Amino acid sequence: MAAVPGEATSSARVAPLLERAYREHYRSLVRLASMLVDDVGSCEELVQDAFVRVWRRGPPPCGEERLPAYLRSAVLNGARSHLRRSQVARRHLQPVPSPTSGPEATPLAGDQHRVLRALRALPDRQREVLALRYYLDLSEVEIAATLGISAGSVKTHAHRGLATLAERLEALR
Amino acid sequence: MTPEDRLRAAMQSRTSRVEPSADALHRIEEKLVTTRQHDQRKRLIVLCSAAAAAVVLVAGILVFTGDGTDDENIAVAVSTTTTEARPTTTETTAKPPPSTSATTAPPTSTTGSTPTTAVVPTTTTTTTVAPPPVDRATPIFPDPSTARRFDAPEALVAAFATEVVGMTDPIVGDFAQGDSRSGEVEVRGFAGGAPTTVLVRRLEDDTWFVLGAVTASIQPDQPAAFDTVVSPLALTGAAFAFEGTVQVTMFADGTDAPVGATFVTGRGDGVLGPYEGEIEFTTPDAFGWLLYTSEGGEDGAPIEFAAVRLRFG
Repeated sequence: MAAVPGEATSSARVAPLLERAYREHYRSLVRLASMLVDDVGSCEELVQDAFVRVWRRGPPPCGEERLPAYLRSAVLNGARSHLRRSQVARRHLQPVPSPTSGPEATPLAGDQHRVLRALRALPDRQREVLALRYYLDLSEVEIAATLGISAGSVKTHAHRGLATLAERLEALR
Repeated sequence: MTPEDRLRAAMQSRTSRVEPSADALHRIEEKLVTTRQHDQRKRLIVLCSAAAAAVVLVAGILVFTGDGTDDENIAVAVSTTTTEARPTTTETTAKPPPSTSATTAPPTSTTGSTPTTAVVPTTTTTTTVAPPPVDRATPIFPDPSTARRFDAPEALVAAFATEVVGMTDPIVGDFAQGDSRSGEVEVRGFAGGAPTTVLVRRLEDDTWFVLGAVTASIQPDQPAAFDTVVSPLALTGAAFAFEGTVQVTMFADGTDAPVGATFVTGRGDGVLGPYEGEIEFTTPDAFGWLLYTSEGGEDGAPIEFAAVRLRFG
């Protein structure tokens, strides 16, 4: 098939940007995903898929300035889908033992494990707001831009999420 | 220590153990290449389909807007097919051999159509190919004992959401591959609505079936998928829905009408609340499934649903 004029230029423009975004954001995005999803292999898959979705049709449509929020948003959407998929699989397929490699092989201290379990049991939005706020230290405005909701909603989700978390941790004592 | 501090500590501890693999960039580039090739193939298929549809449309228009000569063309087409299927049939002796001579016959002649009417019954002898057996215990939709099949998971989920669940105008997402034979498709009752995830699986070579569905707002505990159940059946789980109400309908294979129905009440304020209930049902078949729906919108149609496959005891 003949090359489309301009395709080489486009690819040449994409590659350095992709590489730079990878260097700057990949690790923190995998770690962000690990707040929400249990196994690290899936976290990496999620983040790689997010990069593919963003670059699928050439340069990111959001521009370089908004790229971090765009990537975070893609990772969170992927994590949400992954969790639903796991839920379906758990309910409808034979259970498959998960591999015991990576961080899961060295369990967290009891309290930290409880906190993360309580975090993962929160509704999607509350969990995501808390992860963005307390792991990435994003402002309410940045969280709102990432999740596509208002700053007011961010406050509400954070407040409810923390209250539920505290309640559940208290109950686990 | 406040919950915020504990949360920060747990997150730091968790993330300090997460180290991405070294070849991730290479894997992203590989995935990009594969995805773009897939996109190109998809575009090509759409273009070819559009072209084929245009040809069929033009042919259709020509057939239906033509004059009396059309009847002869159709007759020739039918008789030609028949000759291929039954070359030695005795019925062919009653007429001249169907051939292209009919197409060259003058428009006023009726010889082209007369033999055709005599031969038409033989065309109905074509055999129907029975679908290979599918384990009936597994799929919810379509019923494997019927000939209905779907070769695209998205089309399957669209049909399931409208015909079975009763959604008015569902928005069906892309298929997300799980293992080589299964995956999921998200469906929403309206744009921006909460998704229901439908698990689909290829149980035959190229056809797809619905195995179950889950949604964040309806989380049944009892019964679980593939449980053997008898009437009356206890229902437990957690849900949130408009005014807390979740409709529960029991279906049995082979019948379209529900064999039982009730509702359970969770919470209505956006937080999952436990529900308990009971459903009575008849069992005309060995297999069935439960459909949980939460309704909303102006037309009261379902907007989210969960589906659980069951066996009747």
